[in-house]
Amino acid sequence: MTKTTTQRIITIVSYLIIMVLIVSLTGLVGWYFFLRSKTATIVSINTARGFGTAAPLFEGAGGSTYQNVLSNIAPNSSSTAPSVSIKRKPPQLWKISQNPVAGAGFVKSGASTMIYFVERATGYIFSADPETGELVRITNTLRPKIYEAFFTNNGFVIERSLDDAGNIVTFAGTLLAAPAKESATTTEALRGTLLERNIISLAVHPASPEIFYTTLDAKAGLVGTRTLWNGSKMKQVFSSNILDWRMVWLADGRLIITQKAADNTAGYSYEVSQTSVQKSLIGNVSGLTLLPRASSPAILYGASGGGTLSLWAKIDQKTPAVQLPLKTVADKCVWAPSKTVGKVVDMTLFAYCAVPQTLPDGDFLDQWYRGAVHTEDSWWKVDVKSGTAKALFSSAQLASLDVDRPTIDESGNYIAFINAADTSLWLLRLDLEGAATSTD
Amino acid sequence: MITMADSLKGLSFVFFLSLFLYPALLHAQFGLPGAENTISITVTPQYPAPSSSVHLKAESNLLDLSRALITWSSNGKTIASGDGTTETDVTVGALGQQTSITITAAIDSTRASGAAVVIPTQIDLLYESNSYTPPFYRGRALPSAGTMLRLQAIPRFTKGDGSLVPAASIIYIWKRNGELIQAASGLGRSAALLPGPTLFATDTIVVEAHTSDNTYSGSASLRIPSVEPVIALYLDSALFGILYHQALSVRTFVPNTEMTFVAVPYFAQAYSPDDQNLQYEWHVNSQKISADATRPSAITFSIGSPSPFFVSPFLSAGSSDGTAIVELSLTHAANYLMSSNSTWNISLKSGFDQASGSNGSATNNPFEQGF
Repeated sequence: MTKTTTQRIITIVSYLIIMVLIVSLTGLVGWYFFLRSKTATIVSINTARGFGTAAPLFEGAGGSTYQNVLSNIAPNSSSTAPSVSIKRKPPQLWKISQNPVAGAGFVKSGASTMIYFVERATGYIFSADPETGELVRITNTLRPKIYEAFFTNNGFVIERSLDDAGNIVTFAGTLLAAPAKESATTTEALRGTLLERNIISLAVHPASPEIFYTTLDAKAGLVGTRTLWNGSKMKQVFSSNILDWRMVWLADGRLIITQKAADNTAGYSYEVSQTSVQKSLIGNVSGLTLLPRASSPAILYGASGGGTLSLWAKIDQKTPAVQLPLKTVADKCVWAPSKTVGKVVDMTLFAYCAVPQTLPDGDFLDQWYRGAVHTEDSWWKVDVKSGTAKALFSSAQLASLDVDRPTIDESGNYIAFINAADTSLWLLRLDLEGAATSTD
Repeated sequence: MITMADSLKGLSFVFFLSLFLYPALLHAQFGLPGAENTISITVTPQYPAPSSSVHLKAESNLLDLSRALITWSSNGKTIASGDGTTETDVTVGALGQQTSITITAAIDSTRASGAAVVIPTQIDLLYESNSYTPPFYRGRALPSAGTMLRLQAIPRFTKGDGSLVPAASIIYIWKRNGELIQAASGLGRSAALLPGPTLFATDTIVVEAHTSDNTYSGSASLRIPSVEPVIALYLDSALFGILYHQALSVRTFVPNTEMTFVAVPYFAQAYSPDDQNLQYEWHVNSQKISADATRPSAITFSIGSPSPFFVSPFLSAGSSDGTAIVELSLTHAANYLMSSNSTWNISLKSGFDQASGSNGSATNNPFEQGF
């Protein structure tokens, strides 16, 4: 081998080594950028799934849900801070819960009245004190994704959800063992009973541990059953070929059923008696929504047809209906309770109604029930006997909300309702003295 | 009170058009044998509402009533009288309250008479459809092409003692657009399950009811239009479930990189949104997306690379901010009349745009409202 040949080989090897180094470095650089992009993607996806959120905090009177869940669903919203442990008189319009709520009701707690509500995500039950603004979680039994909840004023609760197969699951629980508000520092398990599956509609008696519900029946189409809270003492009191009913059980024991409403479609309402005989309350009303009054034959009802709404009142069955000067649905109204002064019961017929400031185009009810439209409401007080109404607050005073499922306490001082736009829970104080106007 | 003109309340009455012979005493008094009760009375409307005004018209083949002195009475009280008064009005009683109408006519010594009894009754005619509505929906299921109608007649035939004639002892005759539906009619058949109106059609359903002795009878009718199924799109939240309270609008902003949406076919011929007969065809940015076979009503979108956890279609970033035009076509395997299409413009982001301060307020943003 000559010297020239050796030098040539060395040169070739040198070039080869340099080329290998260049290729290796290029590959490493490429691999670095590839890994970096993948890491960014994974971080992005994990963040979206909540993997990067802070560890849960298991503290606070409101429980962990407000601090942890809420921060994830609206991380940038400064107004979403929970109103826990305020310990001061809340504003006239108080946003009790930013989190979605499945249902709420006034419950007696000793000498005072509290608002109880079910958190939609967890099924936890919270109490809110309308006087102090104190918010306390009182149960720790996790029942996720509650779509609908009902309360009685003596501490019974219904929570309704869906199982994986899409069946409706109904749980009847009791809060009788729940801690009193003065010592509400710990949470309790929610004890109760699972009722039969696929209960279509349900009504609770406001004061007694009784439930009325409807289920499908192969022979009759639909049957209505009364039962105690634990599912015992079942008694069938109603059957129908029509399945779509909404039901109200009044404190005076009357059970009112109303066909589910649709715009431009006649609806009927009946009182179901113990003997199964249906007494007609009102009928052949287009888009009928109904609000019966306890211990009185008076009714408020709404009609929806021809693209507009109207509200009507009947003092009793013999008196012709009077059209009220409000365009709303009965779903947005509550009756003011009778007040007793000494031994005299004031049977003045007042109602409070939330009235959309503007109605959306087209038929309202179907769109509203589908969640396709929402309204901005103002509150009105209705004198049913005189057929007049006056505005309670100007729209500038209070936030305009899409009022749904309003309920009033026994004293007639508070109305709790759900904002249909986001299912947050609100409380409106009706006594105007010292009223604040903020909505924190 | 607002009432639907085309959905007549089931109001009816009972009246006897049979002509009763007057007592022999009267017969002898007026002479002319065979002239009694030869006046027939026509009541309009045929089924008057309780406490409503009805129009009475008298006719006779025997006597020229236009020349006769006529006297009308209601429950024994004279309500109209005069020469040739062949027509008059009267207000009938309340539900179940009998109103006895009599008429006497005289020309010289020739006299004739007639009588009728009106008892207002009531029939409520209720309907709904077996079309799909989601759980906890507070509205009525409406009929679309291919669905069935559930009908229920609730008669109120009030007897003299205030009790009701049992619904099971009443004979019902169901008619659609004037044609008898024999299979649905009969004794005690107060409920009926009938095919709904066809596409864009409006059916008139009539139910006539009477007792076996025809003492009580009544009728009610409904005009029932067919509606088109409505597809609504909702977020299916891992925390809250399906957000039925907030249907997504045409333009929607969702500040997440990954979200599941479900389509709910209101009023469709289906038992559930994932009914095997329903055929969903999803297009995202004009690209056909294969839906999950077990849950074709749902679709999951994500910006960025597909995740191994995805079970539903993956939306690649069509644009920098993840905007997607989502088109859904819904048809039915066995019902060729059912076809619905909807389009949504959905923007997905990984969070609020803090730099610009924009949070999609111009669009329907469920998160903005704490959803």
